[in-house]
Amino acid sequence: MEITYIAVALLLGLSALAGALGVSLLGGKFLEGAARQPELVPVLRSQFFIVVGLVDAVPMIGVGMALYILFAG
Amino acid sequence: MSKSEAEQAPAAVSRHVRRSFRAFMRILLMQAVLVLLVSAACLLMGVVEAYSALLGGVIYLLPNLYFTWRTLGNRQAIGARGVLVSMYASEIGKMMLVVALFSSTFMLVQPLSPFSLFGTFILLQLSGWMLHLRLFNTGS
Repeated sequence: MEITYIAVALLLGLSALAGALGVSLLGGKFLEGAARQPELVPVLRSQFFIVVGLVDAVPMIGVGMALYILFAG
Repeated sequence: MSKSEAEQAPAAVSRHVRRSFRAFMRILLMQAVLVLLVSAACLLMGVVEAYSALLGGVIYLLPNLYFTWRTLGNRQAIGARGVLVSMYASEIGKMMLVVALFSSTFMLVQPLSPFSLFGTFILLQLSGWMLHLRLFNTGS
């Protein structure tokens, strides 16, 4: 049972870390691009939206698996 | 920038955001149809598999609908900082929704077929990648 909790904690923690790293790197690049060419902010906004969706997909699956192990395992 | 250009810029931004919002909504609509098709296919295996697949689809679609509405629903011309703040706030909300939906599903719905649920969820993530890349791969 304790092993299960450790596994869930690892899954959630690593998912959070990966998502946070990806989104923060992306946000930094977005600000760099916006500072360089402010007129492109609307285009960058759409591209940023798409890539955020790509980045957080795998952490979301990890969170789902962790919750499944926690509640149904 | 002349006065007329300054007046036109927010309108152009609003038009671009509106167009993006419509495109993202179209993608979500296609994914909703995909969920129904997968759920209908799972019905051949059993009722539990069918509603598990449907739940997997709902768990994917609701947070993404919230994320799209929250980030692109605001059509005014906001600066880069405003875009970043709204994106981060929406992302936090989306994650919280995913956690709440997964938790309530696992606690309240019994019996459940995890393979159908996660299979549909992962299929929708993959279809989202494909549709985004296909619709927005304009080379710009």
